[in-house]
Parts: sequence; structure tokens; C-alpha cells
Amino acid sequence: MEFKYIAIGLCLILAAFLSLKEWQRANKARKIWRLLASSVAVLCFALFIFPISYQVKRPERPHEINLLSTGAIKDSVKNLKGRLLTSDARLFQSLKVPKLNLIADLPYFLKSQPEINQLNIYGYGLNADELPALRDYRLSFHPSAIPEGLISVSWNSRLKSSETLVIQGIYKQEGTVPVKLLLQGLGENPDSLIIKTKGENTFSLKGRPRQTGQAVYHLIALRGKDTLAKEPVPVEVQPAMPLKILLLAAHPDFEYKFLKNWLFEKQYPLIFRSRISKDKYSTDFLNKENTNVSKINASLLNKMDLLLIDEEELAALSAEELTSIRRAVDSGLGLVLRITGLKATTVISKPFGRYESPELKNKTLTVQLPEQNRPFGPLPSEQAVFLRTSEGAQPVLIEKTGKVLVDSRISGMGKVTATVVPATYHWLLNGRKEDYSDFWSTLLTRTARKAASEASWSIDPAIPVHRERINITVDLQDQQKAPLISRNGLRLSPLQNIALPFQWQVSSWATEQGWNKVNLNGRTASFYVYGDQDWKQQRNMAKLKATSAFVKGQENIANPLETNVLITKKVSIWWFFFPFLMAVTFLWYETKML
Amino acid sequence: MVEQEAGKRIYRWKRQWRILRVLQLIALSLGFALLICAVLVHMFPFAEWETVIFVSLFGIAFVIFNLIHPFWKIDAPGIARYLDRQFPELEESTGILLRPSNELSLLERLQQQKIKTLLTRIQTPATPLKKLGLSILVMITGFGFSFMISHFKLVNYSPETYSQEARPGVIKERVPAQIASFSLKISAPAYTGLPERKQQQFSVKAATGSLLKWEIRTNEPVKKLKLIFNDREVASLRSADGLGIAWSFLKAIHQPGFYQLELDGKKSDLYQLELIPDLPVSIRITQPKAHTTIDFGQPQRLSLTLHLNDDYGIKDAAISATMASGKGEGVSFTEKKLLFNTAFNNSKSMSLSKTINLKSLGMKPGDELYFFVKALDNHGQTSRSDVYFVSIVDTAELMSMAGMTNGINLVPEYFRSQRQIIMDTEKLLNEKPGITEESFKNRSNALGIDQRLLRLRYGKFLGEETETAIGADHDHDHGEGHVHEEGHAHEEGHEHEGEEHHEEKETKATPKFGDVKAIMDSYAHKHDIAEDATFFEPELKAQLKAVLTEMWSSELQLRTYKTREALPFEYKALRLLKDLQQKSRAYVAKTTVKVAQLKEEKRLSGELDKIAQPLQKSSSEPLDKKTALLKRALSALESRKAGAAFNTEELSLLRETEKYMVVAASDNPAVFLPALKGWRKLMTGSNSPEKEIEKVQGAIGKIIGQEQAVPQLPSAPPASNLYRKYFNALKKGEGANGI
Repeated sequence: MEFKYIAIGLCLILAAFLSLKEWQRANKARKIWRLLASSVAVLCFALFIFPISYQVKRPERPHEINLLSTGAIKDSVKNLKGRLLTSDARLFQSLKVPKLNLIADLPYFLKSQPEINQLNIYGYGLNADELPALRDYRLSFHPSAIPEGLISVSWNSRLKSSETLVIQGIYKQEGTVPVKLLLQGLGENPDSLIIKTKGENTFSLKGRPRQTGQAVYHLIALRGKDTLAKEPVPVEVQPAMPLKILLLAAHPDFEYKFLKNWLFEKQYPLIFRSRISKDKYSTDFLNKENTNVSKINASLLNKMDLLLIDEEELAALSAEELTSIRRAVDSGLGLVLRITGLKATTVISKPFGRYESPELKNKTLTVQLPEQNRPFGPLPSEQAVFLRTSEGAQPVLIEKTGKVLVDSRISGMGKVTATVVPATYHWLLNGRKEDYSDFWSTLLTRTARKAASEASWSIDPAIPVHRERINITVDLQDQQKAPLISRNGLRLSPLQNIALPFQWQVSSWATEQGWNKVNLNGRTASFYVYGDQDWKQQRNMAKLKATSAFVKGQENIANPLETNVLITKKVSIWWFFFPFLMAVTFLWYETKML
Repeated sequence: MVEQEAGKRIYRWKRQWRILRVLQLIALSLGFALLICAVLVHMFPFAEWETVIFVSLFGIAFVIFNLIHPFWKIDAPGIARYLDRQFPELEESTGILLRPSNELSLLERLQQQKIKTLLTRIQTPATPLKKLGLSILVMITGFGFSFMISHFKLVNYSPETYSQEARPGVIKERVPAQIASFSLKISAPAYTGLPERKQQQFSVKAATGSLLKWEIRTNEPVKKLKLIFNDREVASLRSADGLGIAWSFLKAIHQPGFYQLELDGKKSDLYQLELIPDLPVSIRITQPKAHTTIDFGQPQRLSLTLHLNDDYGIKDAAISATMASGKGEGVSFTEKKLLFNTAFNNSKSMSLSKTINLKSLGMKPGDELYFFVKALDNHGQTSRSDVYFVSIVDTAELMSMAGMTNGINLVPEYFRSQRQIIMDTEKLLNEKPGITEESFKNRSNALGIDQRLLRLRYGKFLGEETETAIGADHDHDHGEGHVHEEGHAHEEGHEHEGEEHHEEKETKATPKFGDVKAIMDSYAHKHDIAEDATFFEPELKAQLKAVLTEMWSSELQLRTYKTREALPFEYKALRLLKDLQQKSRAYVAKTTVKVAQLKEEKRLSGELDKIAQPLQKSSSEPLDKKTALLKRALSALESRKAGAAFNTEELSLLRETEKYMVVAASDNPAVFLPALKGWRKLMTGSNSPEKEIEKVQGAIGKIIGQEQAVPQLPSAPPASNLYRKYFNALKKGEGANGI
């Protein structure tokens, strides 16, 4: 304050002195001009020191904040008006925007500042579990560009022995250099794929894990020699459960003989009955104790998981036996029908319509799975009969041109599958063992009775990250008892779902990276906890989607109130500099030139 | 005094400069020699000669550089001239100093005095030192380059070309510390023709049956030295000198695997024994095709070209031919061995060709020849090709009427007429010398017309349009039919012709004035009846078409009076026709069967009580534990990857799997031995990197092999009461709706 007055005083003295000097100057020409110029110079000089400031009114939104999340780009946020906040410490350090403030926890911050009612979210957005806290706020989401890399993925992590691991997902490719996706694990590379086109590419990789127990495969993205990503794919393999199969043949043939031997080799419990004459049968009990199978009844069928029968034999069964088969199928038994004729002879086989096509005359038969491109080896039989596609039926195996060879339909709780392929044993004779086993595995696994498990569990989020909160949901068959859940020797207390009494939920923390164990009713279940850097793009993409969906679903709350705020503004000193310069120049020029 | 000193100084410089020049030249030639030697060794792999090449190169370079800049030519006057050039204050008179002062004139002597004092004051010139520095720089660059090149990937050093030679890829191996030196002599068996070679490496890659001789020297006396092959076979070595320092061992290897040394109970690393088996000769026949048919008129010759390949040498090759002649039960076979008229000389690959004259083999029409090529390599292994078939068509058989006189005759008339055309053609050819050319041409033409008619008839079966049916207002060329009638009996032809005439009459009878249909018919492009066209199966049609093509060609030849050339086509048409005819016939030969007398009273009684119901029961042995064990070992190793130590259960599991690893490694050391080494390291508890564990895992995966899908019990989520209620309610609803 004092300096201000001293300066003003000094300026006044200077002005007075200069005026006096001008007044006393010998050359009286342009005296007024010179006086004027001197006073302008001094005035401007004084204004250099104390620039003029004034106040303006401007509408502001005090109830609005800009929230930056992972993926926010400096260029797009640095010019934002209003308050800039982030709860991500890493982002806060890397962005280095001066106005940006770090908050510890968003819900806490919002509670402490109740006047805020509008949030502008930048970056990839928030996690799905953070979003419900923002229900009462007006949100607007400015998403960053979709991240590059593995943005979506899923695989079957809990497998049975000999099942195929299928990894499917989306890779977002940028740039023109092709990217190679490689599945790696247990010292082998079961599958790989090259992505060439720009944009979002779906991919599917397959492998058959060989281990029993846990293993971590890796999905690797390579561009040239650079590793773009190496993401863990944890897989747990449990031994397969065998099926109990009943084979009923109208007459023995090679197809039955080979199938019987193949199943026997694989140690499946099996009963094979083939008709010799009226009410006379030849019976084989393989890995199974003797029982009476001359009459097919409910008690026999209930012990079985699958019944394989040809249509002739089905027609030869008594009405009573047919009813018991129908009942058994309705309560879960799998039924495989071998069809050769064009006309259905029984009620059970009636839903499978057939037709004849001479197209494959003198040609071999090529079987394939509908969703896969890999055809099986050719079979030398001339296939003439095909199944008609109809509503309620699902094709299991098709001929190369799309004609259905094996069809499956639901009947009650069980499944009925019909096959018109007469002889598959040629595969075994030709040394194509894998085709034979693929064919029958697909057929039998799809049809067999489903074993109801006592309990099943799932984990949320699907890709839990180290130090994240996890929810374990357990479904029980017996809804009366609460499940015993313990982790690391500590018993956890589950919460029963109000609507679904058999569902129990428990929360825990992902404490240890890698394989974690949970004890469920005395059984050990394992899940994998990922590192911070694993599947990063996938998680970012999930955030982006969740936030967009949440914002879209948000009802529009009325516009936030705008209030006027007084803001002090300074007049730029350049405005004073130019008059000063002109005045001084005039004074100098006048003495020299004029 | 001063004079002497100045002179001395110059001479001292001379000595110094000469030494420096020599050093400089050595450095230069070293640099160049290193560089060139490295490039040469890199391009042509002669590792043993490295030093020789280097020394000779160095010598050459040194001599050349000496000739360019001879060090012995550095002398005092030269130095004086150099000093004059370098230092102007010496006034071009350093040379005076070198001359004895008594020879000089007064003026010169004065000058000498002046220079002497000056010379003692000037600095020692640095140029030779600088030059030395430069050449040392060249030497260092040479070193650098040669180092770089030797560490370069061996680009044009493909393993295919040299692995067969005495240079297996150098494998880094750990040799026990007690061994001072060792060498391994490998004598390949005689048939390979490979020279004996020596290597300083324990890992062996040699041809099957090679004789190996180990010569080992230890640096201290060792009591016992053993070689353990495949973890089973132990061979104790005897000391050659009785002191326990020099050891040697001889063994012929016929089995791949691995071995290790045991020195006083201390076992060494595992070394690989890989065998290169001798493959039999591969035979590739490029000509003829697997089935060849020689038609009438074609030369009865067969040209055979083939290519033989073997890894060490072909000793012999021959064609084994079998001829089958006769028919029915009277088929006789004769075997013959045909030789290639070339010397084989143990060459590794050769192309052979041979023309087999079927006539000289004694083959007649109707006979068949089966042959294959047999080859023998110098190890005594034989190999043979697939069997090839050659058959000569029997024209006499075609002409025979056997099989037509009985059974169903579908199209005998057409068939007979083709036969007739052939007979007529042959007759005409026989009579040719006796008749005028005019009449020969006429008859040939007539035969051509016959052939055409026949073709048209068959064309009808195919739905082809006959020339007569198109647009033409039914004015038939009756001449054709006439000639045809003249030619020979043609029952079906007549009948057909008759039909046509009949049709003609009908169409001629019906036209009435204003009958639009009739007029339309006569102008419309009418095809044959659709039913007629699709009467045959596509395959049959294709065959018919082939017949027509032959007939076309035959007709062409006949009508251009090349009667002899027509015969092959006629025969081929006949053969095809006969094939067609045979196709529609099922032939069952007569047999005499004696049937036992039936007991009428026992038949059709419908009693089954005496029929026993067979019942078989068997249960399979528990599956071999191997696969299950290995699968568990895989996940045990996986947990190790995460850093966890093995627990006792895992350790015992892994110990059990070791025997499978050993078996696999002895069967296929190249693949499994590195894994077995890694395994042993892992089991000692040392911290192995992830790569090592993955290598072991990969090997176990290979032992498990390709896995096949098995059917398995699908699992469903727990069925709670709620789900059941829903299910039952839906089922009830279904019933109520009557669906």
C-alpha cells in the first residue's frame, strides 16, 4: 500500500519536474505538445506499475465438477473450465495439469460437498461397482478413444479332461503392421492367428490342455518381434466323469461292435444287448455287474445315463417298454437313435423328419460340426437319407453342404438325438481315430443325462485384480442349509438372497496374486487373481461400456443453477506501453529533428 | 662435440624410424589379415584351417606392405631431406651435416656450424609415431570386424548341406573338471562311404552302426571310469596306461539315446547319442499312369520313366513284371525281371527310363501286365514301388457274341451293327487291291453313312437332335435309309425307321387347313421328348457321349476314304458300347449245390426254448497310470513356475515320472534329452528359470501325445426346488395346451 503511494508521489514529482523543464525550455515551439507528451509518458509509466483492474459478472457453475479417470488425455482436459478432479493417483502424476486436484475417494468427496450435482467424466470412466453411487447426479460422459489391443475376451476356464479350451474375443488393431496372437502354455503353442485388418477383429483360439489341475496359459500379442501384450489365461482341468451307457441293437453290426470296443477301451460302464430272435438276446456286460436286461424298465433306465438304440429295435420293443423309455427321457435320460429308414416307425422317432437326396450317390460323405470349419475325414458310405430341419431341433453334425446328419431335440429334462450316419467305424479302420472320437464324443456328451451338481459357484468380477473386492455367489441344491465357506482358514458368513433362497453370497478380498483357494462345503474351489497390469485394455473397455450404459440410462435431471460470480480482470499493460512509446518517441524526435 | 652430437641425433632417428616403420607394417598387415580371414571363414566353413589361413594371409600382407613402404630404405639422407622440408630454419642444408667436414668448402663449413646448433634445438618429429598410431587403429578395426563377423549368424551355412558332413552342430556341453582332454573317433559303417572323423565333443550324431572310440585323459589318476548308456547299460573302462590317466573305450552304436560319464562315482552331464538311419531308396515313377489301356491300333510299347533317390547310394534296380494271359480258369502268369541297362555305381540319385516292348515280352491282345520297380541300396535295404497295370484290349473278345446270346439283351441291335461296320471295314480293306479306286471310295463312303446313322440313333438316346428333325419339312433323305438297307440286316434300325415313317405319315395325314398346331409344329424348334432325354443316368450318358465321339471320328475317317485309320475308332466305340452293355447286366454263374434234405416236421415250429441267450462279461484293466501321472506332473511343474517349492507329494509324483522321461530320452535323444537335463536340474532344487520348466513341460506334453476327445457326463447347475417347480409347471401347461 505504502509503496503504491510512494510510487504515485514519485510519478507526480517526475511529472512536475518534467513540466517545469518544458516550461523553461528555450525553444518555445510546440510547447503544448511537448507538455502533453511528457504527461502522457509519465501517466503510462505509472500505469505500468499499477495496471487498471475492473470487475465483471460471469455465470458460473459451482455445482459442477470435471472428473478425470484412467485414459484421460492431457490435450483434451487441460482447457476445461471448472474444477478438475481425479481419484486416480497415477493419472494425477502423469497428467501434470496445474488445475487438477487429487481426491482420495469419490463417494466420500461427493458426500462432503453436497452442493455438487453435476459430474463430467473424462477418460474410460468408472468401474461398474462405483457407478451406482452416482445415481442422483447429473452425468455427462466424454469417453476417450477405444483402447488398442485385446479389448474383450472370454474363455472356459473350468474344463473337464480332454475338453477344448476356446479363447474368443476382440482385438482392436491400429496401424498397418499385422499382429500375431499366440496362445502359449505348458511349453507349447497350441494355436496362433494373424490379425491384418484395421479396426475391431474377432478372434478365436483353441487348445486342448493336457494337464490335470491348474495351469496358466498366456495369450500373447506380437507385432514383429515386439510383445504388445502377454495376458494370463488361467485354466483348471478336472478329470472327466464316465457315462453309463446302454446299447440296444436289433441285430449285431460292425458299427455297434466298434463303438462297444471303443467305449470299453475308455473304461465306460456299458451294457450291450443285441437281438438274436424273438425275445432272445445276446448281452455283454462291460465294466458292469450283471442285471436282467431282457425287459427294459424304469429301474434299469434310471441307472443309465444314455441309451443308444436303432429304430428297428425301438419298433420291436413292447408298448410298455416304450413308455418307460419316454418317461426316463423326460426325467433326464439321454437317448440316441440310429435311423436308417425313411419312415418313422415309432412315436419316439416321429419328430425327426427325413428325406432322401440322391446328391451323394457315388460320393463320399464328409461330416462336420456346424460351427467349425474343420471337416472330418471322408466316409466311404453313400449317404441318401438326411434329417429335415425343423423347429425345436438343433443340428449337431452336418454334411459338408449343410444337410443335417445328426439332430437333437429336448424332451422333458432329457434329450433325444437322432443320427443317420450308418457307419463311422471306417474312421477307425482308416486310422483317423480322432475323427471317430470327436464324432461320438460330441454326440454322446450332448445327449447324456446331465449330472446335477450339489453346488455351483461364480465369482464377480470375472477378472479379479489384486487387492480388489470380490463377490462369490454360491448356488445350492439344498436351500435349507447355509453353505460352509472358508478362506485361508477363516470362515466367511454368507448372505442369503432374498428372492432366490438357494443362492448365497459372500464378499472377500483378492489378497494374493495367482491361484487362490476357497473352501465350499468341504470342497476346494480355485480362482485366479490377476496382477494390476493384466488384461488392462479389456478392463478399460469394460469400464467404458459400463459408464456409457449407466450414463445413457440416467434420467435427465434439471439443469444445474447458474450463478453470477464477480471476477476481477486486469487490463493488459500493452495498452499503456504503446502510448508511452509514442510519447517518448515524439519527445526525442522533436529535439533531434525539428 | 656439437657436430658429433647432431650427426648422432640423425642416426638415432634413423634407427627409431626403422623400428617404428616395422611395427607399423606389422600392425597394418595384422589388421588386414584378420579381416580377410574372418570373411573367408565366415563364407567357407573350414574351421580347422583358420590358423594356417591367418598366418599365410599375414605373411602375404606383410611382404606386400614392405614392398610398398620398405623399412630398410629409411636412411640418414632421407631423414635430412625430410628435416629440410619440415623445418625452414634449417635452410635446406641438413644434408651438409652428414658429410665429413673436411670435404666441405669454407662456406659450407660455416653453414654446417650454424645448422648443428639449430638441429640440437629442434623437436623430434612426430610423423612416424602418428603413422604408427594410424596403423594400430587399422589393426583394432580389423580385430573388431573379425569379432563381429565370427559372432554373426552363419547365413549361408545351411545345416542341410553340412550336417551330413563331418560337422555336427556344436553343442555347448559341460565336461567334468577331472578330464584334461578327450577325443571321440567316429568310424561310420562302410556303406555310408563317410570318412572317419574325430571330435572334441561328447554329443554324437552318427550313422546307425557307427563305431565310436572314446579316448579320455584325466588330469589326475582316477580309479574308476564308467560310461552309462541310457541310464541302464554300464560299461567300465580300462585304463590304457594302467595309471588311471589315459582311458579308452570302443563301442558300436545301434540304438539312439544318451550316455554319461562316471568318474569315481561322480556323474557327469548327459550327452546325446543321435543316430542317422539309412533310408531305403525312394522310387518315383513319372510315367506311365497307374492304369494304362492300349487300344487297337496303338503301338504296343510302354515307355517308363522314373527317378531314384537314396541317402548313401543305389546298388541295383530292376523291373519286376508279371504277365497274365488267358481268361476264366485258364489264366496263366509269367514273371519276368527286366533290367535297366545302366551301371548304378552307388550314385545317390538317378533318373532312369526304359521302353518295354510288350510284343517282345510275348503279350497278346487281352493280356495284362503288372509291374513294379524294385531297388536295392548299398546297405542291402530293398524298396519297391506301387504296382502298375497295363492291358491290351482284345479285339477278338469284343467281336465275340458270348454273353449276348443269353441273358437280357438291352441294346443288341445297335451293338451288332457297330460290329458289322468293323467287319465290313476289314473286308473292304482286304478287297482293296482287287477293286477299282472308285468303288473303294464309294464303299468307304457308304460305310461312313452307316456309321452316321448308327450315331444318330445313339444320339437319340441322349436327346440330341437329329438333322432330320430340325425345321426341315419332313423331306427325308430316303437314300440314306436305302443305302442302309442295302448294307446289312438291321432289325432295330428298320423298326425305328418304320416308326419314323409312320410318324411322317401321321403328320402328313393330319394337316388340315387352318390347323395352327400343325403349322406351328412344322416350324417350331422341337426337341425330343423330355422323358427320352432323361432316361439314363448321368454316368451312362457320359459313356454314351464318349461312344458318339468315337463314332464321329470313325465316320470322318471313312468318309475321307482313310478307311484304315477309321478302324481304331470303330474298335474303341465297340469296346465302349460293350462296356455299356455289360453294365446293365448282372451275371451269376451256374453252380451245382447239394442241399441237405429238409425235415418238414421240424420247420417253422416257432419254438425258441432251446436257444440259449449268450452272455458275456468283462471288465477292463485300470488304464495305465502313465498318462494320469504325467498330467498331474504338468500342473505340479506349473505351480513351480509361480515360485512355490515342491511339496512332498509333488516330489514323489515327479520322481515317478522320471522313468518315463528316461525312456523317452533314450528313444529320441534329440528331442527329449535337453528336457531330461532340465528335469535333473529342477529336481536338485536349484532355481530354474521359467523357460527351463516350460521345456520340461513341453517334453512331457509330447510324451502324453495327441489327446482325443472322450464322451463325458455333462454337468448341470444344482437343481433347486424352485427350478423343479418351474419345470413341472411348464410341463403341465404344455399338457393343458395339448401341444
